[in-house]
Amino acid sequence: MKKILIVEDDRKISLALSLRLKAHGYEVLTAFDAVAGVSMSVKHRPDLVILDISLPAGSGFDVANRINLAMTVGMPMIFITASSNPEFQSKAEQLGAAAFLRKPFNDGELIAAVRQALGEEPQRP
Amino acid sequence: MATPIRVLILEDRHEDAELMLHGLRRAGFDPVWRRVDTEEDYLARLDSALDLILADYKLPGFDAVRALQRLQERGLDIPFIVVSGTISEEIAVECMKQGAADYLLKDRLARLGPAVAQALEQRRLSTERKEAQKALELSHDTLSRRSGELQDFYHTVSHELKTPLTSAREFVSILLDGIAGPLTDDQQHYLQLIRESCDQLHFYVSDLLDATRLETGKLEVRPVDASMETLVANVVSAMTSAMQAKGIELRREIDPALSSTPLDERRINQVCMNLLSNALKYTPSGGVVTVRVRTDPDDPELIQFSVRDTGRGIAPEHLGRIFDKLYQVRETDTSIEGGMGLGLYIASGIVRLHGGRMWVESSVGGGSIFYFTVPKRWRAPRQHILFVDDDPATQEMVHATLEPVGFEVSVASDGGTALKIVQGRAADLAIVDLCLPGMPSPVLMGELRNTRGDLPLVLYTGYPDSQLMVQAMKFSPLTLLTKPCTPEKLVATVRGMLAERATSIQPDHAPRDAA
Repeated sequence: MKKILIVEDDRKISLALSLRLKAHGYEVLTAFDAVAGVSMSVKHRPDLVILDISLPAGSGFDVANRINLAMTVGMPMIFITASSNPEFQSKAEQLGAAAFLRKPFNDGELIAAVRQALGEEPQRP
Repeated sequence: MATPIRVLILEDRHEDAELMLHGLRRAGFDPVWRRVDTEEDYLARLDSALDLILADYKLPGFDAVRALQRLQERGLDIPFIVVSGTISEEIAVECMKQGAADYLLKDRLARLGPAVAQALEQRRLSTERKEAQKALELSHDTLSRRSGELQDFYHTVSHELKTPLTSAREFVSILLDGIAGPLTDDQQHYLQLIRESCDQLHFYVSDLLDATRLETGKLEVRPVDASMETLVANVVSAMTSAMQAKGIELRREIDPALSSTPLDERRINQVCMNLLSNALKYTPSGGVVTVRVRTDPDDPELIQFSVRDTGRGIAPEHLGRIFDKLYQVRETDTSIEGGMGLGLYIASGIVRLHGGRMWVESSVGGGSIFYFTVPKRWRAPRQHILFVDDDPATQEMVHATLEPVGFEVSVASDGGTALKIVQGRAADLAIVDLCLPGMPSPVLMGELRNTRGDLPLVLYTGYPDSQLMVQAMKFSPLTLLTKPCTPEKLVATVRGMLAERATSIQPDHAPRDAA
């Protein structure tokens, strides 16, 4: 089973994402701040990290940077943000993001991005 | 009654100093004075409490020019008058250049009184002016900070609204998708209604943010080559089911000869969706909505989009204002949704940022056609600067400075003329002198803002008239340009103000030939 780490400080959004991803057959881990996000990435080696950008104790970009530094093998990352800052998208791309989604996101879009980031078939099994 | 005055006299001859003091007393001053004759003593006695310095030009080992330099090094602004037995024109010019207030010959000391009075008056005015300038800069800083804070506030509000909206929508979707168990048909239906409401809320939050961006010049337009066929297909497929549900036929007519065109696809899509949603809203069942894309019949360099409906049409009194921010055609028919009055304002703003324009043809009962154009080749439009000042020399300077660096400049001597100019061609920026003949500048600025709600304004002022100033400063975005103004400062101010408005209008591709 593929493992996905969700780094999101809004507990409700985190829960909703977990429910959705579990329903699609993934194992889900959650972290609620940037520090936990980095340590859980290193400890559990998830197959994908879903990152909110504004987080307590750092930003999603900081987490991505730390993961990139700590990992020898690239770990796919998807950014999700409620911010309308137009620079965030290019920043995410520079960090090698597999996808960049804005909140409120579309479920179809999210699952498609997850499957693509994990190198799975676009269709549901 | 004698006016007390603190004087430092730089003079090696005691009797000449006495003559100066005599001159001052005769002119009605009561001098408290000290005489020095070396550089060391002069420096020791310089302080900001002095009202006046009288200096002989030539002293043993020291002179007036050096004394002036020392004064400036100390940062002191004390009127300095050179009094000399003989003085050549060159030396006099040199002294004035170094900041002397005046120079006098010792055998013409009768002029001393008036010269001192004038120097003191000038200093008073300059101090007052500096203070006013400082107050002006301070209030300007405050205003720019406020404007920045407002922008941040909108971003925060938008972020804070979208976060709960995201979880609400997501939990509803989870229920709808049966992840939490099976639903009855009624439950399914009601949850769908909730999700639609969430989407509507999201749409309004985005509109609010776009309107603010447009106003503060932060709306981004990133042109990338796009196919008209695909663009229209996307818009049409997004609208088809809603049109069908209302029994409206949606037609499209795209000129197949059109090649791809540089535009911001997401933003133009937004414009088309807005026009089609309006058409859907105002067209009765059984009507027809037609999307058409072709080369503009009047200008082969433009692509013209149009959305025609067979709806009720728009009354002439509304036509002139429907692109204004927050303007809504109030209807007694309550079946028509209100909205916030931002849609067409945002749509026309996006088109303008592409270098095109939007307009409407309509008659009551005869349906409406909304048109907009975008250039086939991306070009940064030549920006139109309106300059309002009644001084012909300044007009000429501004014209001669801005035209060569790529701006189109219109000059007006008064408010009435200025308004006529913008009726003919909208301005991208207006520079308004604070003191105008006829219509006062704050009134003119208000009128200019009525023609375009986000017009950047530059207030050009030398001497702030406080009451006018207060009235003028309420406008935002607004920048101050203080007189005297160098051409460099003028260009920098204009460019800065325009750059703030449209930071990212950069082509993403090399220019190419039109189809």
